[in-house]
Amino acid sequence: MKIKYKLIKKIHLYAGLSTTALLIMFILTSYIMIYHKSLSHESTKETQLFDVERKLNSAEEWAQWIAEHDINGRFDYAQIEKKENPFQEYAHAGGSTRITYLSGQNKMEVVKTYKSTSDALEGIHRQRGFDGGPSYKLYAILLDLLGTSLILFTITGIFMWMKLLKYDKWAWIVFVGGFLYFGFTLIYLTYII
Amino acid sequence: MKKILLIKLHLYAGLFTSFYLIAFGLSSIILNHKIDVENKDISKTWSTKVEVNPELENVELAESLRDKLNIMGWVPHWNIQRDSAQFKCQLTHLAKTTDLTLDFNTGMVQLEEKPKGLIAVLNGLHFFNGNIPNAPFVLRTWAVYQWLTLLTLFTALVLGLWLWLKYSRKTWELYLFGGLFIFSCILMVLI
Repeated sequence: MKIKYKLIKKIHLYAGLSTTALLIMFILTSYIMIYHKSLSHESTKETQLFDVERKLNSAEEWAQWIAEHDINGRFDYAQIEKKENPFQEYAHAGGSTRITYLSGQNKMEVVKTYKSTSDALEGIHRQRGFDGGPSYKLYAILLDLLGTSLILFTITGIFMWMKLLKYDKWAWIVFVGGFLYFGFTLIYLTYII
Repeated sequence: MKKILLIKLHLYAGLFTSFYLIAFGLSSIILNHKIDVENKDISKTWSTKVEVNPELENVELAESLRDKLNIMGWVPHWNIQRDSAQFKCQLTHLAKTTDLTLDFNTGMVQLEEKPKGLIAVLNGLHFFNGNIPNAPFVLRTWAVYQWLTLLTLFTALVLGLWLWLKYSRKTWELYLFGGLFIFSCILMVLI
């Protein structure tokens, strides 16, 4: 079967275009991670107290209370069976929220932690998985699209190179150089060290 | 600049980053689906005698063992156990986990090596910055490769966008992919 060059070019183009925003974000936040130590990591906290009639006894009651009180993020960690001060934690790219039932006071304490700008950007880089609300699910679909696109536009790019500039000396030098370095590192880590 | 020169620059930048991109694409899918790709079987067991100061604190003793044996890896402090006769710790990096058991009476240390496997290493390169304690020089150069690859990738992306906008864009493509770009940005703010 003969593969049409125009079709390959379209796949290459659309795979790249569909993930441009995410790719730019990943490049930018990768540099932020590389220079992590030089950047500010000061977070800020905000505490709110809410009256409740009694201790929330089940996961459903906790979920309902959380849904009614504008808690952002996806579920991270919980100890709601604890007798004293049971809590749940929610996290998002820009920070986290800890909701604690203050035993003896009949109050719910909501502590919101906001990360510094650089940490929040790193937080976007680290988001993954299909759990959480609709925006998290949509973002996970975009991540899958990005992963597939990266593989697709690399393979289609190599195919186009073979069709258009197969005898370009510099292209071969760059390609073989990258292959040798990457391949050596992979083999060295997997089988030698 | 001539079109052919821009295409060549886009090609060179793309080819330089090609293997990194395939690994990054694969690991993005693995991470997004939280797939466990690590092999946990012991492939090699060996023992040797080593002189360390048993009076050291747990993490310092583990690091001392690592340095005396010249093994690459971090010490997860939550995996350290000690009693009057034995000291157990773990050394780990993207490609291998090694369990160490030191016998205080004999000074013998037993090592159990668990290589994580090729796919786990490919996945681990996503997080790797060339900086692991006791890593050989050749692995430390990854930091330079990574820095250059990100810059080259950005260059390839900008050149590709420029070539599309200048020479081949269609109005519907502009609306569709421009819309997807804005949608992706809004989604990143929402999460």
